Amino acid sequence: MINFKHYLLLLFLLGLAIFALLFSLLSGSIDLSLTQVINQLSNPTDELLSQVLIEIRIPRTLAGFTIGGLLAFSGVIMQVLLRNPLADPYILGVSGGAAVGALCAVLLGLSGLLITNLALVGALFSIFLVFGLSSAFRNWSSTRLLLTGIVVSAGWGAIINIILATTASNNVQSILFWLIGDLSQSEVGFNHYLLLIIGLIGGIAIGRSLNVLSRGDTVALSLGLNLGFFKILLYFAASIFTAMAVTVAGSVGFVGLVTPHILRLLGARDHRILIPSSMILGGSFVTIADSLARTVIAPQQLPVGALTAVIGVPAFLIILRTNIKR
Amino acid sequence: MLCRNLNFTIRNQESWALLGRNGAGKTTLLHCILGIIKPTEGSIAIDSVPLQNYTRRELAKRVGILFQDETNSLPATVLESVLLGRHPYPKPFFRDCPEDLRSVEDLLRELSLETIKNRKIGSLSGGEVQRVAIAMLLAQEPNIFLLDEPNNNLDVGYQINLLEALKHKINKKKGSILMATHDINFAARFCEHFILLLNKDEILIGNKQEILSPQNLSKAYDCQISSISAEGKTFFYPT
Repeated sequence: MINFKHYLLLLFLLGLAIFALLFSLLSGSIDLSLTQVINQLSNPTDELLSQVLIEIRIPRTLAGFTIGGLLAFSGVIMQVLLRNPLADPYILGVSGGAAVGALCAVLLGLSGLLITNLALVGALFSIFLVFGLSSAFRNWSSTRLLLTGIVVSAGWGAIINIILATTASNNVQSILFWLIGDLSQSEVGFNHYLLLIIGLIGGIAIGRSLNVLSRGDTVALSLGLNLGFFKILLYFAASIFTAMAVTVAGSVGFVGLVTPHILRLLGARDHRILIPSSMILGGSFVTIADSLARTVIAPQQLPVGALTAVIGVPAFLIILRTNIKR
Repeated sequence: MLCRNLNFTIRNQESWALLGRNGAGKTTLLHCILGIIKPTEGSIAIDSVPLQNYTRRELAKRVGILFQDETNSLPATVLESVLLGRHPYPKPFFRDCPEDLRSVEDLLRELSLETIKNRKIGSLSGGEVQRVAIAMLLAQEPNIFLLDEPNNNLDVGYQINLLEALKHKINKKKGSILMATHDINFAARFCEHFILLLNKDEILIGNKQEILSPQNLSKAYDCQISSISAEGKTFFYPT
């Protein structure tokens, strides 16, 4: 159910999102002030500044927010589908598949869009492999799907390790990109924004059904939810969302797992609230983490995936602890 | 194949009990009526319409089930859980339906769950969880109440009070009960009609007087069961 506190939470998160977006626009190798940004956007005078802003800062900020939002959406959906609080967007091996696809592209000497495309192929291949192996369409056992996903992920991990151990060291750096998650090469486009909006509106629309589904299949069926098609749709939506995020940013960890939990602890248990608030918090989280990744040891950059965990672990533990005390 | 040649009709305001050994197919039969499992042969109809002609949602407005332990790993409060019972009914796009909230609050008061309505399900005792499940089922307002072990985890006081409350609702609404239970005396107290699953090919169906005899029960449970009468009622016990 939804109450006044939930609207306050959403309002707070929107404020956080605005802060995150501005923080990301203003910080980096050249620090900008808010007036500078507004001036450059309305009436560009300094060519370098406006170039930095339009070609680097804005795209990267939007990329961070979008990827965070997509991963948080997948995280919520996977946790509901598998009824497992430990589920995250990568649980069906999507990140491993994408990484292997991208690695193959790098090893073949391909570059740019071809790497991204091969990563997407790897991610999709992994999804179908896991579904096929667990024969999920005939027999809906989430435990079997979960186990298959974990085993297939381990398989991808083994392939990655073999590739890492046998390739020249100058390739290793670009390979790490896929494993940790990095926004420095990310280009998100129309497809990503479209998915983000579909996820947001669709997620709110199916919020009530997700509430029922999170109680298990038998309860959901007896309360009138048509499970078969709905669950297949959700698995594919969550997997495609993850694949789209992974192929441009690598496997940014922790966002999909921890964002829904933080919000549940703050009282957003109803999925009509949990979906939009997770997407906003996930987006803000990655945007802030990436801003810090660009600045803490500037001019050197850190991969955003390293920072999400650095911020996420203490934040989660603090909220968990205060919640237990209460 | 669990059983064959099972043929019965439940009418309005009737209470039926389903008795049989562990694994005899009690829960399976309830799930068939719920439309979750398809029977390998034969058919089930509600109001003369075959089960498969109903949409899930329409079926959920007619048949509801009280579950045998439903554990939950994602957090939810008592109030939120009971509100889920209203899922089959139409609602505004985003907001909660005020009538739903009101009827659920009334139910919580009736079942003395009001004091724990904001507690998480995970923090409740087994008996409280069972009472929440009963509240959820009542919120769903079906015509056919399928009860799977309704007195699980409940003390004697709640067993009697909750079942009285349930029967009262059903008499008011013109519904019916089919309960699967291991407690013969509990079933005898609340039900007039009995289905006794003896084995795969032998099922006894009839009213209380016909079915509940020491001979039938001894055969069904494969142990010696005797009866004793007191205050005009018959009680069964293993010897």
